[in-house]
Amino acid sequence: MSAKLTNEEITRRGFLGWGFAVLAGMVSFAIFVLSTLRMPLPSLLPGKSGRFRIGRKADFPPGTARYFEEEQTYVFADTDGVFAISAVCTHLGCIVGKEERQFVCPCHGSYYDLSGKVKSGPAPKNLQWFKIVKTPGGRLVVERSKRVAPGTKYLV
Amino acid sequence: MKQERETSAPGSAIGQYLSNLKQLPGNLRRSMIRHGAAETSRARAQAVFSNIFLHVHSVKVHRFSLRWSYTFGLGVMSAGAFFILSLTGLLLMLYYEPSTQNAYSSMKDIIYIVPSGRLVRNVHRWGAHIMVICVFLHMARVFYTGSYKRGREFNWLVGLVLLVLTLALSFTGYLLPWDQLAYWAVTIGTNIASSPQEVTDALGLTDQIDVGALMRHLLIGSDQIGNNALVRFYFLHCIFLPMLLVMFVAVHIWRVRKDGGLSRPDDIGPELLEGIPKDAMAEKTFAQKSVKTYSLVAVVKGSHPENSGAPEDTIDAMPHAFVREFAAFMLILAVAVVLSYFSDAPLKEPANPSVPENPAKAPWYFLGLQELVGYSAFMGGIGIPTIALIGLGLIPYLDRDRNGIGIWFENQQGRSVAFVSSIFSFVTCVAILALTVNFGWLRNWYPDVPQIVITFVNPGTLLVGVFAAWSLLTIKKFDSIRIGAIALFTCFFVAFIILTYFATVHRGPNWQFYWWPSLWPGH
Repeated sequence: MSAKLTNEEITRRGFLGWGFAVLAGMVSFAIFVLSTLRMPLPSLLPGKSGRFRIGRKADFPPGTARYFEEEQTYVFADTDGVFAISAVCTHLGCIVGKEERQFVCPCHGSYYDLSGKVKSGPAPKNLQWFKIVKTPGGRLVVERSKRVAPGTKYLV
Repeated sequence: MKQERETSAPGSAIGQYLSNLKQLPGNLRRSMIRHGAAETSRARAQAVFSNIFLHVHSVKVHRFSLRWSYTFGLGVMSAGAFFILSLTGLLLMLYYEPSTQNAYSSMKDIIYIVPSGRLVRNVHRWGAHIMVICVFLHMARVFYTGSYKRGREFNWLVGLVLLVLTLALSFTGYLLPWDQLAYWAVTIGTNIASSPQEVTDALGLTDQIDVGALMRHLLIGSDQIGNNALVRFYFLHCIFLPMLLVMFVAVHIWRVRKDGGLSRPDDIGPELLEGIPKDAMAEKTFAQKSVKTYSLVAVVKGSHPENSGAPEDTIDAMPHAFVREFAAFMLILAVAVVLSYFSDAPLKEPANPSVPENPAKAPWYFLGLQELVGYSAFMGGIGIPTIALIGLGLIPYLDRDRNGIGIWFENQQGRSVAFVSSIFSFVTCVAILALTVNFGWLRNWYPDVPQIVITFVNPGTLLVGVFAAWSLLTIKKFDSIRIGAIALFTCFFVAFIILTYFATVHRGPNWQFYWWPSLWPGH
């Protein structure tokens, strides 16, 4: 074995003194690194709230199909009630177009039926359904942040 | 020279002042460049190592390294393209404004109002295409000449990092104009980054660990694409990625030097060096007769130490290598400028979050990936690229054979395996694409198939599996890992070209198959 580089004794006082300084340095360094790593992750996500008014119940007689372009949401009404389906493709986020009996995504060709169920293409999930609530003033509001199971309608 | 300067000064201070003033240009030059004209070998060496920009280059290079048909100058061209991109990029930064409000109109200003703005933007765009092509071809050159061997393994990995950085720079670049292409590219790119959700959803883990959302928040700083996304991509494109790239290029060039210069074969016959200038001293041998006896320190040939001018058959880098490197740089600069005069970089309509382009196609180098993404977002966008990168990175660590370095395709066997593999890859790709176009995939046959099955069993993963099997078979048949690596690399390279071609020409609106873009239905 090679000789030690130094033969200095490590005293308890010296160890504790240096040890404390080194420990404090390491802890503050760790805190610094962790906080800088945390910074790029926003805690508040900027953007639109996702709630929007669509009108009164009387505006949606059975058979209605309306597209809210800015909110990227289709609102339909049948004899059971009113329901809202997202127009954002679950594959890579393009906006699906509505055809006679289906939704089609222009980007990679995912096809959904009119209830949003995937028929073919790469989409991994069905189109999202959103919750519809009524304000005290009697207006219907779609809440894009609240997802509901497909088939959940605002009953007439 | 020093003597001369001191003695030539006249007696009085004012006389000396005037004399110094007269000598100012010469003295300024001498204080800046300390060597004389690059006429002697010594001065040529000094010209390289006493210059901070040149000193990363070796003073002497092997004559074989100057063979055009060995390197095609692709490494220098890649670096040169980056240099052009940096200069034009800095100019574009003077006018471009990274906000969703003004980005598009500042692009219009650059094209129609800023003096030379259109040309500079076009050169930037063409420079990017050239850089991507050069980097791809450079990688193929290094692979097919077996130049990742004998100490060069690590530099192959550095090169892979540079490939990824090049593609990342291209991607972050084309979304800055905030036109339709940009907006939908950000959307698709961000969703690819979030696509681990495809797997965590299938496993029911998304509530516990949502890697996809983490990636999305890191990239675009929000759940929705907006100003934060543009600012982040601007920062990545103009500061973060170029800085990383410069650092890795420095390591890359440094390692080329430390690993013994460019790779070359062990036996270099005179026919390989035809037409390459020779060191004037190469023929001479300086011998020194022994004047005293030595104790034995090593066994050498002959009776006395010998020193020839260039034992390794090298030649001064200044000017022979630099002239050729400069020529390669000028060539791509010329190509970029000429193309820029004839073809404008595209700018589509302003970003419209309500209506995607139909079809929304990425630039050509991502279209192969877009075709794969059309089968599964996760495997096409993350899984298969990762597998390909890991596979490429493993090549020099699995193929430890020291032979065959510096020779294109190693030998006749390598050439024929590369040829057969490219045909095999071509046939497999066309067959799988034809199958998918005509008959669809699992979901068309079994509508209730679980998503996780499609994620892992799709045309893309099938191709990867077939290629892996093909390369293992080749290793077994020829009893050579290197030949198997040639088979695998060729398969992937050809598949990349075919998928890129297929997505460019044969995919139309709704990503459907068309024989020709002129057959697309009108909008």
